[in-house]
Amino acid sequence: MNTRTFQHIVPFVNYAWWETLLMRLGYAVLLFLWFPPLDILPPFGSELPFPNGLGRLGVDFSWALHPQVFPWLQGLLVGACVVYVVGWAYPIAVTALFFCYLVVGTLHNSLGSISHYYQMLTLILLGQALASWIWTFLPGNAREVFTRSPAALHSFTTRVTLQLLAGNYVLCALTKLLKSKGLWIWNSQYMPVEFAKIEAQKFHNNLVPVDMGLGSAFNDFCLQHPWLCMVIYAPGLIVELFAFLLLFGRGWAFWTGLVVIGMHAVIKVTMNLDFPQHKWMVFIFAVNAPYWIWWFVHQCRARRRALR
Amino acid sequence: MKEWAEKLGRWGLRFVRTWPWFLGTIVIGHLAKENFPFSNWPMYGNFHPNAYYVYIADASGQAIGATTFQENTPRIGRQYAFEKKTAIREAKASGRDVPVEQSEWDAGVKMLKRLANRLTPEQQRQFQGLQLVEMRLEIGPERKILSHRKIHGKIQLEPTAN
Repeated sequence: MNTRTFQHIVPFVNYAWWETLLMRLGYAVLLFLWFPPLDILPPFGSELPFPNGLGRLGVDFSWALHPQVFPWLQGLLVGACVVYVVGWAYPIAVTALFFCYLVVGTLHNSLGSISHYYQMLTLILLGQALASWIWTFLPGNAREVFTRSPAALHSFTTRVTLQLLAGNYVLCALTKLLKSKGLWIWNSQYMPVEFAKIEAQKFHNNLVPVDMGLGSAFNDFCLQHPWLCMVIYAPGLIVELFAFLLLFGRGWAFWTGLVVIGMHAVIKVTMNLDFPQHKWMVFIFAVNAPYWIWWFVHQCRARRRALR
Repeated sequence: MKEWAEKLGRWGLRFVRTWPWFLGTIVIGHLAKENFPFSNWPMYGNFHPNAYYVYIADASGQAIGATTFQENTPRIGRQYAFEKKTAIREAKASGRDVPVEQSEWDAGVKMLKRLANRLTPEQQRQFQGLQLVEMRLEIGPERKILSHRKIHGKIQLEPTAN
């Protein structure tokens, strides 16, 4: 294989300005909606016995929990979201968004357990911030970043975002293989025990019986037929492992994105675990529906013109 | 052989140049583990024939909802696992011959004391005491899920004016 073949497998996708604008709009809405309210964070002045992330290095973000300070952080988030969508001074806007999520995510994860709702959102912001600063410091770019909304910058940060998304899914699969010493698919037969645990834990939150939907019937059936768990969960691991296909161009990103979203939908039914923000991230950046709508309309018009 | 190695090296370099962020994410995430915003995504990384969770009960053994303590059940479980690990490590470091059960009990009591501070005097009077209960789940011989209950710490509550 020569270089040209490699470029064909891993094409360099140039995203149009309107595509990246819609992606930024979608992501900003997601960031705004998922920003945790003050009542799910530790109360101001409370002890944080399990510091996480920068908290382990002694960085104290608890000032943000003050009821008079937190609205300022929310204000910063909203302002940064607007500038982020517009695309001017992009590195500053995305860094501010990263900062907002870093503060609340670190505090939320310092309560004694690791929640995985904010990592991917924050990591993508970190990647976009780093990529945009690197782009800014490339010769001739610095002025452009602060005077207009450069399409080349947004195209670059979109490619970086897809790499981060793909990398995290692949890492998730590799961790499963490492932790289970390669036996993850075989061990998935014990999933009904985990499901019973999830159900009991949900009950003990409020002592109110929870409706686990189809998952209960499915796991009862799996208890009697362990092979079924392996059949259902093995594709999930394979999908995660092959998530690098998101990087093989628009077509691959679209189909792989849909498969990843489908995997999340199956997990929601079978394990009662939902990660809507992950699904939306994949939908916004990988599926990229606006482009395919444009492509479809364009193809229809071209076909009609050819028939005339 | 040398030609193949060179070819492979060139491919590797091209791969790194094309997907540096992808590779960086995997390497950094794996090394950083669970340190926000990084994660190696260890949840459901493996399944075992048994699993356990913990909850808090009052002096009579009646379960108390985790939200009463501004917590949720998984978080209480992970906090207990952390305290247990710390207690066992400290016992080992001290050189004393402390049975694991004792370390588990100490960890449970430490947690209960912390959680008790979040109760109102009225709740403290109502519950009278707190117990940390571990429920171990496993698949039984007839492929039914069996649960075993074990207490890992008890404290008495004396209402304080807070």
